[in-house]
Amino acid sequence: MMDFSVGMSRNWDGFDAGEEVAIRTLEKLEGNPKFLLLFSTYHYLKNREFEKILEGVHTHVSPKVPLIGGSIAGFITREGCYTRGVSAMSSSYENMDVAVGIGRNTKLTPQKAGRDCAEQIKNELKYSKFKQKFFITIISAAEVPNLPLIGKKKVVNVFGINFFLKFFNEICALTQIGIGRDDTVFDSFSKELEGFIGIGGASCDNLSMEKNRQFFMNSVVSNSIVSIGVSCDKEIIVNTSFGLSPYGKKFKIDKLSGGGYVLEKINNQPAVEEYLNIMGWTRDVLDERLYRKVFYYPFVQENSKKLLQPKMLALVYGNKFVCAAKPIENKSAEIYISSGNSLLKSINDLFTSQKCNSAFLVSCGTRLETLGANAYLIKDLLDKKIKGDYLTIYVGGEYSKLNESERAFMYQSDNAILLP
Amino acid sequence: MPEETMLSVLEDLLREDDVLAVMLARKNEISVTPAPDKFKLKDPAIFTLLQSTMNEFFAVIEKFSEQGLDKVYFELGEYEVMFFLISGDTALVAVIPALANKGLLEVEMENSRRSIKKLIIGGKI
Repeated sequence: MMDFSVGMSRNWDGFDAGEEVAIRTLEKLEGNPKFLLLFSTYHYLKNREFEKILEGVHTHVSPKVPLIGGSIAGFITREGCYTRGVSAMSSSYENMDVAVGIGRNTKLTPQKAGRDCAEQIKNELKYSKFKQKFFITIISAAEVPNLPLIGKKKVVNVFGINFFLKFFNEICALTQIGIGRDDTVFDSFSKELEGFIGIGGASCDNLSMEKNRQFFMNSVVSNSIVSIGVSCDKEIIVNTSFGLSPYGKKFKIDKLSGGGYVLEKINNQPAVEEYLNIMGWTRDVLDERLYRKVFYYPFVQENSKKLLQPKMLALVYGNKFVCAAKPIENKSAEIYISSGNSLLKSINDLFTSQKCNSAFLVSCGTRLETLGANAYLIKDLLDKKIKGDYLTIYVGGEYSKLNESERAFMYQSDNAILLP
Repeated sequence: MPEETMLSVLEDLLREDDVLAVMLARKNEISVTPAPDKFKLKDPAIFTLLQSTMNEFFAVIEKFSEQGLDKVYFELGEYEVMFFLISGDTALVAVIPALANKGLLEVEMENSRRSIKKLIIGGKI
């Protein structure tokens, strides 16, 4: 039977955590691991602890075993909910071929990074005899720019910010800090991998969006896309759900700049003022705690395939918003909202089949921030829905490819690979 | 791994960058706290004030605990205080920056609360 084995560690020491997570993941496998997915919270970013985690893992796992992963905001396993620790997932299923890929400079040359990564997987699995193909991908998320004399602020309202925004796109690309461009990376990656379905997430920190790292084989990298591609003889199910409801407020996106990421005008008015008007909020709401209010109201646009894509207002620079994914110009957007109950329903909606042996889930980190201690309600639900091991990671943006035309980069979503 | 104690659970929680101070407060008893030199508060007077007023807090908390009171939050200037009730007369208390990602910290507060509950049931105080 094909299933996933999941392990975790809460050890503060990187090397010890790496060893423990490897031992606990491998001890449940019946054979040699075919791959290892490895995730860690931001706590291990200091003192090169991520590197030590990988060293610890590789004392028990052959360096030839395909390994990818990255930094995340938190995770849920059958053992509990955590926003500090290391987790891993593996499988030893025989009838499975696995390949890994990496694409670098995601913020400078996003299309090339996505394509490079996909090509490595495609070439490696070209001769695989197994028909079911899926991927799991991790892409470097956005990082809040460190502005001279201002620092890493999400809300900036100083003289000269408009001048900075004129060159925002170029500065972000050259410094590889700022917008993640993971929408472009994922589009290029998922388009190239014809015949694959899959999910992924944007590696992040504790949602401060200051730093993130990806893991590839025995290296810790940044500004990269890392992925595994799997072909196997078992059916898998890939699902996406949102648990969002319309808030009853709409606006039209009239003017974008900064490579399409800076929202200048909505309803033909300066974006920030008009947004506050629509929401009935005062400017006080727009402080460094943006995530406690604005992030709970994503705006949703339909893409050309009529797919809903929730998007976030990530930064407030003067009278403009910087969005984490490109909005669509000259098109209306609708504000949606989620609640604790709708987040539970969203997880429930992922399980279309009655039987699920194992699962890997990718959810929006804002959902974990919203739920707080109530994340255990999600765990209780997953414990009931899934017979064996599962791993849910909380990230800074989600990706899913349900079929060739339904490919999306989203926020405020839940995504799953289910093994029936 | 060394055996878990109330103090080790609190010290573990205090290692989180955004947990500035922490205690296990008990009505009419001395609270359990890590060594104050491990606290990261700019203004330690806030914690002293919290400690000295805990009994008055419990007088109010007890009245609501039968109604299902589980957590209490309040902002104190640049700080936020989180109370996670363990029983009517015991609470896990943490001081965090007002700008911290509270929800993510809550997940670890909940883990600490669960560990402390287990220790209380096992009689390992």
